[in-house]
Amino acid sequence: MTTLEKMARLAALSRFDSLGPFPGRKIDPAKVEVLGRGTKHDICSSTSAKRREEGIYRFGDVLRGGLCHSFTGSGRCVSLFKTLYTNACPHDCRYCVNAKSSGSSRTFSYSPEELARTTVALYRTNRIEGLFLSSGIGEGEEETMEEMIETVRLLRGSYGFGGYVHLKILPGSSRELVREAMELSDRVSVNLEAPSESRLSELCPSKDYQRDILARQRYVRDLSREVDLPAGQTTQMVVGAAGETDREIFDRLLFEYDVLELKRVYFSAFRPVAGTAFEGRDKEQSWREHRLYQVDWLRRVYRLEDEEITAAFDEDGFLQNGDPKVAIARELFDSPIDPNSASFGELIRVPGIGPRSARRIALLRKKRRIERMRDLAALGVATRRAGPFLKVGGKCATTLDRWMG
Amino acid sequence: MRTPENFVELLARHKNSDRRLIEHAKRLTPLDIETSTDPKVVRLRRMIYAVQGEIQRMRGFVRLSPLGRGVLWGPMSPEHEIGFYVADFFARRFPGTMIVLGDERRSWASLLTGSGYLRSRGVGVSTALEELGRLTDAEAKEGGEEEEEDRAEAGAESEVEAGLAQLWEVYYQSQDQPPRDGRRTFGGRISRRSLKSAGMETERGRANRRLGDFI
Repeated sequence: MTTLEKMARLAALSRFDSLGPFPGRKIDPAKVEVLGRGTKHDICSSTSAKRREEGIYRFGDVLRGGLCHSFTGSGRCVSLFKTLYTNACPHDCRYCVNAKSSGSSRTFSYSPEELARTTVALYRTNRIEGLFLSSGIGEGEEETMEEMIETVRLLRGSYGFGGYVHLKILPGSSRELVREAMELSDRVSVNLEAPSESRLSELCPSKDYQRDILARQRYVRDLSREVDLPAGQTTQMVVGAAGETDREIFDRLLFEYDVLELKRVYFSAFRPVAGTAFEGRDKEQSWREHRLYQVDWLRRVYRLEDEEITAAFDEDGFLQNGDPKVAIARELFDSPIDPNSASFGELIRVPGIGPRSARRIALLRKKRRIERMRDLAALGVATRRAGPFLKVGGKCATTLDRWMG
Repeated sequence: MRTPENFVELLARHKNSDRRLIEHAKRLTPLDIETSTDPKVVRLRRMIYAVQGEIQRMRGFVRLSPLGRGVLWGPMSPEHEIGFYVADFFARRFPGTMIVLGDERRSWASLLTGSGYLRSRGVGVSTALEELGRLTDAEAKEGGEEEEEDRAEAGAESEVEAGLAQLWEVYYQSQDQPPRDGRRTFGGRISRRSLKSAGMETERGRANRRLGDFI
């Protein structure tokens, strides 16, 4: 312990600037609202960045596991300052409030300095973990992308900001700009929006799936062999706006992970927005987004085979509103398995057992046999869900199927 | 595995921790804590996770405000004794800036310098801030033009602060998707306990408001 006086003296030696909007020049709240609202359906998190150098501390840093700074009323985590650079856009995406035909009357734009100062101020007050910067096309892809990059350059250079930055690559950006964006950011992303060319043409006829989107994703994949991109490349799809099936989305997801080497694929259930061409369409159920994330998790974290996951889809290629892991386990297990002899791969396929509890089971059974269900509960297994698939102490849970069969 | 090497230290920070529990924990390894089915050890595990959870929540939810030059302070009233864990975290994020956190009874100050952390424990955040205010005033009297500039800067800072709070409120509302049928769609929430512990205001949205807020 030391005295406050000594600490105050030392702290005064370090120059401190709270930054924020320039004193006397207030930011128009309507601009903050409109450009913030423009990213409301963009999904992102501050996880997976791992660029801390041990023992070197600078202004701002990232936590590998991410950090939620608040939650909205609907329960969505607010981690980053998510905003558009400008809401002016010549594209005509039918679901988007910024589409040129949507009739949105006011267009706004930040300046790089204004946005960088605001980000630093929000970070200093611990309201955000970093910046998520997307944008409409504005005057042109190259110009707007250059200004977005300039914002991050100011953050990293002038303000020495070491926090998290996720930058959207605008469709049609040049390879050189993609490289610059990658050099300055933790994560970059190009939004797919739809699982195929034909589905995208329904959503956004002015975008070219191959040239505007997939080609940019390939740039990022190829460049990441030379440029360090700590949190990798991600993408996002709108679910339920173009009549696509979950199977189509899953097939695209496999391509994105296996061929384009993406870190994450995010989903956003379609919500009709007033003033857009899709205003009258039905909103998509949010459970569909949730089930797609579960399937994504089974593939990415649980490492289930693609053929196994296929069992979760119905004949029409849709997921039901139930845990896909249960549907897969019903196909997979003919009889209950004994946790004392099951392999790690088998354990992880049982609903209610995750990677952590499977590891705990594997470690415990080296010491002794597992003979009671409550032992599994103590290891973190959700026993009500796992019960029907397990045989513990020679006993199986009674299920309706077994009772009838 | 989630149990860290310093689990005994974390356990000691739990509000219900005592010497007997700590002695018991010292005989265990992180692996024992993770894999044991003994109810006593399971209880220890839950206590360690509770402390870890609160550290993580406070890192995210505490809001900081500048106090003159070189000081950031924030209200924090944690359930467990985690003050320095959180203060050190912010000191790491803002090297050279003194972090003061606390409530009316306790305060924790931390500063990361080239030689490591300097820490000070106090009897309340307002007392600590008053003391810092006195020190700053005394320095200003001794100083010359530079301190005058600093005072002007501090005035501008408070103006920026007020603007920033408004900006945040507008931004936060812009991200909201109202809960349908009174249910939260995406599951995340800030517990009432955390709202109180971190003194959050803007985030006490519709779903978190109480009748008392309107009176």
